[in-house]
Amino acid sequence: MIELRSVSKVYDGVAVVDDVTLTLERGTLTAVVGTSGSGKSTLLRMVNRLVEPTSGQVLIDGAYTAVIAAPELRRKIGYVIQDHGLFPHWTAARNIGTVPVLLGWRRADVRSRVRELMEMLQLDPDVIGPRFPHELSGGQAQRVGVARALAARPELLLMDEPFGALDPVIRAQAQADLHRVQRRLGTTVILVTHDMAEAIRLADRIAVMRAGRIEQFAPPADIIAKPATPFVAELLGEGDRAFRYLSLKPAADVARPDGAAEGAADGPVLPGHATMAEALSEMIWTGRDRVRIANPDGDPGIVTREALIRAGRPE
Amino acid sequence: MFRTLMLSAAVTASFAGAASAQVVVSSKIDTEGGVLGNLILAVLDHAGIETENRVQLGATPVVRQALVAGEIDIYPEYTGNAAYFFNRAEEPIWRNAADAYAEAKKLDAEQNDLVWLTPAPANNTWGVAVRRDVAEPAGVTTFSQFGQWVAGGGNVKLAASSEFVNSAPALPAFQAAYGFTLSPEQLIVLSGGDTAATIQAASNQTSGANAAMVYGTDGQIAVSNLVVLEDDKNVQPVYQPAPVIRAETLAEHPQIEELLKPVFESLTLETLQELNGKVQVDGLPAADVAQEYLTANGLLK
Amino acid sequence: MRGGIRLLFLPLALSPLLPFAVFRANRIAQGEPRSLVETLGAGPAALAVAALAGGIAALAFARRPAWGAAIAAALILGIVLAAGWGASSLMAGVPTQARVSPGAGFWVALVAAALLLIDALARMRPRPALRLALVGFAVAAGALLLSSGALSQLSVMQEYRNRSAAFWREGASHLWLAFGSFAAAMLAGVPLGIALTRRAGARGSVLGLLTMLQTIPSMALFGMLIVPLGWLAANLPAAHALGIRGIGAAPAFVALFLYSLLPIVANTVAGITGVPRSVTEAADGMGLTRRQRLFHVDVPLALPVIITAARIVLVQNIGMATVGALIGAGGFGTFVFQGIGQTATDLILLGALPTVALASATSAVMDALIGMLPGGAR
Ligand SMILES: Nc1ncnc2c1ncn2[C@@H]1O[C@H](COP(=O)(O)OP(=O)(O)OP(=O)(O)O)[C@@H](O)[C@H]1O
Ligand SMILES: [Mg+2]
Repeated sequence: MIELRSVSKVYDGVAVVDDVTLTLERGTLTAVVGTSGSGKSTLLRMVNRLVEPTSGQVLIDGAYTAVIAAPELRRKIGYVIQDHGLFPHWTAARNIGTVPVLLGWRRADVRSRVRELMEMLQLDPDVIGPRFPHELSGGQAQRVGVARALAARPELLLMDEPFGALDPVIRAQAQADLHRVQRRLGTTVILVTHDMAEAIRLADRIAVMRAGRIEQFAPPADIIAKPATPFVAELLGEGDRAFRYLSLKPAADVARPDGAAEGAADGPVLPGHATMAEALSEMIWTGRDRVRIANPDGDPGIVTREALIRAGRPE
Repeated sequence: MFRTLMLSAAVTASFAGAASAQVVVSSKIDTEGGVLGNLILAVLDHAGIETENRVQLGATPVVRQALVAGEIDIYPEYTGNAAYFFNRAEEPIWRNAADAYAEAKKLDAEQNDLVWLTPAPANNTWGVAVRRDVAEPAGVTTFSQFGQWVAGGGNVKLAASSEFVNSAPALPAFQAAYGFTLSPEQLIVLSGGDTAATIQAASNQTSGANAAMVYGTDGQIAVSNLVVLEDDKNVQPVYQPAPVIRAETLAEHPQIEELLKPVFESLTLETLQELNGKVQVDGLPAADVAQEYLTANGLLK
Repeated sequence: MRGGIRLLFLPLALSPLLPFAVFRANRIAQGEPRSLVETLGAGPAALAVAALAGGIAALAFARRPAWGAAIAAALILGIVLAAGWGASSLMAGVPTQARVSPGAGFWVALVAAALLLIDALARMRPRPALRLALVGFAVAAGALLLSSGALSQLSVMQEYRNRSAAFWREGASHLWLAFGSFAAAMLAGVPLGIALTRRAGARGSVLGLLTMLQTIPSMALFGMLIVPLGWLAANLPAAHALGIRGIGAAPAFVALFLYSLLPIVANTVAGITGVPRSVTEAADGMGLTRRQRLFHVDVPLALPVIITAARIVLVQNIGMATVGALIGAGGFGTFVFQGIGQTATDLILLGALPTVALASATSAVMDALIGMLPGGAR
């Protein structure tokens, strides 16, 4: 559990982070969003003490971070940044092993941990491992950066716009990877991002920042359903908030058995985890008013346009 | 530059170096410095005085400063240079050999505890040398005779640097004192030319040159068959080489004065030209030239 | 061989028409040109021209750069040996004061062949290790050639023979001056540069002071050092025992040290501040201590820039150490300045040639070392 208690950072008389109090549960992914310069990075960097708070405290599992030696603290916290920051004179494998080596792990342990991580992130240890950073693609370098951050099995992972420089396809894959890894390892993650869709897709909770203050801290559905301030609403993009909302909910929630009153459907069967937004998109694209959706327990279900439109507006 | 060095010399003088048992013999880096320094070194060595060899140490300001600071004990210096050491270059006293020596000796004894020993009867000053095959028929050995000869229509063509031709204390001073004038056709001005170039020109009669700007004891003069004109009216400062020694060292080894006296007295203009020539022209090591001269002339007793 | 470099065949082919040697009655007399035939004799001269023609033809058809390099190297060897042999034959039966030095034809041929060699080597794109080996080979070949006696009648070698003991003594002081002051400057300059990266306030003034030092002419700096060093020698017996004096090697050493500081300090600062921000941020974020970051990240990444400064400083020191001769520090400059005093070109060359050779070899070795740094062409 991470607690920020009345944390502020003042630069030249300006509070770039202003009296922020937050509690983040273990094993959750919190996204921090906000306009540029709103203090997201500063907030993040106060957790691993790359920036020292001007006032307030940060606690991890009830312990004050201020009394732990900074290097020692940081070795327990993973840190990923946009430009990946790989050490250009070290191979990918050596980069990934940085923190385990600092912690004095045995060499064999470091080597097997590096292999394990590379395999988990779909990097071939024998091909990518010996390469230098300038011999990697952007996506590969980024995954090496994530592997490096996870190397010493941190319970907390800080990510500052980790996917900002990736193309949409690679980014989607990286997001999926992160989701998978986070669920599997139970790591607590703080993710700073500019991409609202990313935040909605990945986060358990979203903290919206503006001028150093938290405007709203809530689960994605609540943020979309009840933006606390006009700023939050604006950040969501008012035009497509219904689609954002639909994209959070599984279409299976509104499915009914096939052959019921409304009549039968034809066409392809959507996968069972498809969201309402995907179901609606399929209807528009194929010119139907109903689609089938796979049901692990029996025959495919039917989702109708009316049901989706009703569900797309929070009560 | 020179000034900076001399200034530091004055400062350094106040904390003269740690005395050591050996007599540190030094000299300037040029050819004559090599010859004279090795002469002194050989004489002291032969007399059983323990020496340290710092011959051909460096440029004039460096050697002078080293002596004043007590880092070396003895080196040969020219009387005329005292004019610059004591900032009195403009005074006429330096143009008379005996007066110049006496003044240099007095000033250094008073101010720096240095002793000027017996000088050589040779004057390594800026002047003119004429081809022997021209000078002898014309009966010219002094500047006065040269002046009369030129004024009387003597056929001379002088190779010189533009500095020598134009600067007031040089050729213009000679012309005024000895009553002659060289027309532009009688001058070959080698811009930036040094004495090596002017001597070569007169020696090879380049463009008809038959006289050259020289320094009196230059080693090239003898082999190039030139004779140096005597500055009989003392137009130029006199540059007689003499060993200069720290008074303290001399007190420890008083015999040095008498050891060096006959050696320097034997060094005439022609002798120095010849010794310098052996180093410069024949490429012999200065130490060998010095040793051979001393042995051949019975100066190592 | 292809392209514009073939234009060099022309001077190479025409060089036999120029005087191959210069004969002088003594070391400062005016030189008289001697043609190839006069120098070598008609028969050997014809052989030499034939060999040269053969070499040019072989170069023209050489397809691989390595062959071109080998042929050009052989040509250089041949030209130098011909000069040595020609000097012996010209010196036969004349007084020992006479001197023979290489003439215009020799120099034209040598420079053309050297440029062809450099071009071929450049096109070989040798790896750093091979470059080091080539430097070693060139040094060994030069040493063998000089010690074989094949060149002993050339004027520079005669100067050497007259002062061989002094040559090695001055060579040793030259190396000590140049490399010793360099080592001292590295030991002081790199830590100083590192300290300055952490105190941006002091950076400007320290670099400004070092820049000012660089602008002082070497003789003036030597002069300025005589006072404090003389004082130390006179008042601190320990300093005196360490060999510190107002004149001699100490002020030259200190002056070279001071001149070396600016490039080393400035490049250390530039190298370390040039480490990308994301890299230093990641290093801090991973939990490297300041010291760990310095030794594992900052210094390794700044190393190419620091070694570039080291190369500049070494070459500069090797050249500048010659001036030390004016304040009694010894070194190859002794021969240069004695030679100037005697207007004896050969003596000047006896000081200048080893200095140039030393500087070139050092520079080539440093280049190869820079190429060997991890990360390759970074
Ligand atoms: N070291 C510093 N000194 C002074 N001001 C700083 C410093 N670091 C950040 N700031 C200022 O603090 C404010 C917040 O910066 P921060 O980097 O936290 O913003 P951000 O929300 O991460 O912005 P972005 O989305 O552009 O990365 C900015 O106005 C920035 O200029
Ligand atoms: Mg930021």
